[in-house]
Amino acid sequence: MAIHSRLADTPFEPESELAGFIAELDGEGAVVSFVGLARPATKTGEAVHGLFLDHHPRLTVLSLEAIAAESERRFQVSAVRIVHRCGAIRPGEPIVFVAAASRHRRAAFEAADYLMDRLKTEAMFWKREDGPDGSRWIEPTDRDYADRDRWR
Amino acid sequence: MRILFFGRLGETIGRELDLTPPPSVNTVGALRRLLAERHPDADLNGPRLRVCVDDSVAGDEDPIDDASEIAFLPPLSGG
Repeated sequence: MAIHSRLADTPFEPESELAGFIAELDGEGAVVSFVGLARPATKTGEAVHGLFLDHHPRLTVLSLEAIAAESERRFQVSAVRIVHRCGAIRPGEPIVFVAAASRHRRAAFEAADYLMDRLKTEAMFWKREDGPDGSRWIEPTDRDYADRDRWR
Repeated sequence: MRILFFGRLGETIGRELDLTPPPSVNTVGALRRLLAERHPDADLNGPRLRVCVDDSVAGDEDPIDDASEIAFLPPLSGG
């Protein structure tokens, strides 16, 4: 079982992550990956100059590992990779990469969808948006919680 | 005792406090109330605030006598 979770404090390349993930596979027939990018605007349309993702020195990576392990338990996936940024992030930079591999495609699609819904609400991060009018700390939206609750 | 604050709390209170609480402050709840008195601007009473004592999630009634690090975790933003 290949489960990898990594916290990145500098920019990472999703292409390299996907290539590395595929290179380590062992006969799986399906790979689904997702990349989340920092948006240049808030939900209400104001400009964002940058994000800051605060994290706990030990518990944040444990939260990523727990989510990855649970995806492997719930779906017929044999490899999972999560890479998540922390620290200062500029608009357009990748924040998160997830990939899941399985024998057949359905499990990989479902696992990737599940990973993102859990990460959006339960990964241990605190997000601040910095814009021309100041900074504000963000919490998951009702929609984010509803997306996560689909998997209960 | 090392006390860590994250997210909005870290900005309001500071990232880290080194504190020796008085003997009467021997539970998570008592520490939370003490900090809330000292930092009235910080939201230390919200329903989604979590506290970890030496990396384990703890409730208000849990003891802190032997703790070396206590982390106050405001509601998560998610990834």
